Amino acid sequence: MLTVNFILADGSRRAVQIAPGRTVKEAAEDNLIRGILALCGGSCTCGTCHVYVGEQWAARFAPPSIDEDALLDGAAAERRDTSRLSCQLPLAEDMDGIMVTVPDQQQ
Amino acid sequence: MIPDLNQLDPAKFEHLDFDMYGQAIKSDPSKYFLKWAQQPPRYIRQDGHVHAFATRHKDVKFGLMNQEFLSAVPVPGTGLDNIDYFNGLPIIVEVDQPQHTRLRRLMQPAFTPRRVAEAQAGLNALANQMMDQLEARGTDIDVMADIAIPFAVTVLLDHFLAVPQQDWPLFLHYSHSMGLVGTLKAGDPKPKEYLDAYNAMYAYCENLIERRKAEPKDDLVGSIIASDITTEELFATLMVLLTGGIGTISATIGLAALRFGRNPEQMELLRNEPALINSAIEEVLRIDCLGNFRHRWARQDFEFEGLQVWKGMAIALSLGAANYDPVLYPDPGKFDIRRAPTDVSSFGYGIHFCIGQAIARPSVRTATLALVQRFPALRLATPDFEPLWGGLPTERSPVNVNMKIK
Repeated sequence: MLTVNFILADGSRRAVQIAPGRTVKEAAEDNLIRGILALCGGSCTCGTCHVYVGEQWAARFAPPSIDEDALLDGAAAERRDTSRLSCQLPLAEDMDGIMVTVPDQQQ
Repeated sequence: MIPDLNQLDPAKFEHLDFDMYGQAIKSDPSKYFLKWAQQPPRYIRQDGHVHAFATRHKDVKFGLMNQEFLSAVPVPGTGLDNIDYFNGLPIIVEVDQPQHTRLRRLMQPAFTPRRVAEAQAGLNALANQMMDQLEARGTDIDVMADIAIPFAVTVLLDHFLAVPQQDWPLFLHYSHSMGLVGTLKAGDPKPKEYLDAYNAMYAYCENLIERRKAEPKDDLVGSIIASDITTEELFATLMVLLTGGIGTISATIGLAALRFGRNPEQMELLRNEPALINSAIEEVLRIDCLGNFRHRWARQDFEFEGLQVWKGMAIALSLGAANYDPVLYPDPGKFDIRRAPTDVSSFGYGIHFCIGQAIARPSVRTATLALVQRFPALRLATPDFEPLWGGLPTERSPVNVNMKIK
């Protein structure tokens, strides 16, 4: 199991466990992390599972597809260099301890 | 090959003793949904055809998200040919990837959360203006005619699509005439009123394309027209954008008003705690799902939670029933605006997740909150008021929601 460290919009922190191969969005969903909506169910369609990935972790994921890129452009919260849609972030075994910040707005 | 009816296990059938598209289920779907939400996939008969029928949340979600076994492209001759609101055009909701991806990318820029957030001030102003007009007018209102429909029309046609006001009647007429199609028997010709409205809209869109090519504008319609798609696809995309949203938003505003009218203590709670509006509208979307059913078709033979499905078979997915699944929503028949339900299926899931929900959710929240806050005496016209029910066959929309505001 991996640990994913979420920093919520109110500044509070939650550390949750998830199996490798599952996504950051699923880690949030399974542990009732507030602020990640994923209204479409996690198919890179709605742009409401936006997160900021910790800087040293961001480059370990495959870069965003053109659809993810377009959705991030239109995200409700500010787009930063580390912005990603959490449904598009499968966790690899070497990502234990990853930091993920939840923005204050998704829609 | 789908076997004959008599070769299928009778124990796997549910006999539906009512019209799936009729008044009974539109008026009170909860009595069906409460039961269905706990049943695994089974077969039903629809117009002489065997369909698979999925109603639990996990099964409906699978049916909408899976693309390996299921297609959104209708298979002719499966008893659903009459549900053709766009006269056979290649509309985005009935195509698979990669055609779907191309069409969706054209529409996406108009519906981003950021763009909608920027439009919120305009929604507030529109709602306040409408409430001012109602306040000056009298006691009796019809939420559909006085608020829901004009609000939805103005938001879509004016705020988002910038259609000149003199052209609105054309869109409204087509939007209304779509309801005529669903009442047809298989093989019936489409009614003249529908075809006239369709042809008028088609001509309008052709003309719009010509005008925009001559005088390009940098807006949503302009960006669609500037892209590399066929005229038919373009027309179909505009039709869905221009007409598809009106019924959806207006119906949900009406359903919300009716639900609050029948639950005055919840209305009072919202009035006292307006910050509950997001949770309240999610709860309305859950308990009063606009879409009773959506359909998919099997791409190949597969086993669906123990039910054999054959290539080409239609699968009816009850979005409304999924929202009553007690696994996700304890005491599902109870309307509780503090519930803050998540994973509500009303706008679908997956690649066909409703692109317009980004507009629909804030529109319904804004109109509903304005109505509830402005009129403390808001109540149903009579305590046992029951609307007429309409909307597309697979959907449920009140035709009228009569209330008193003073």
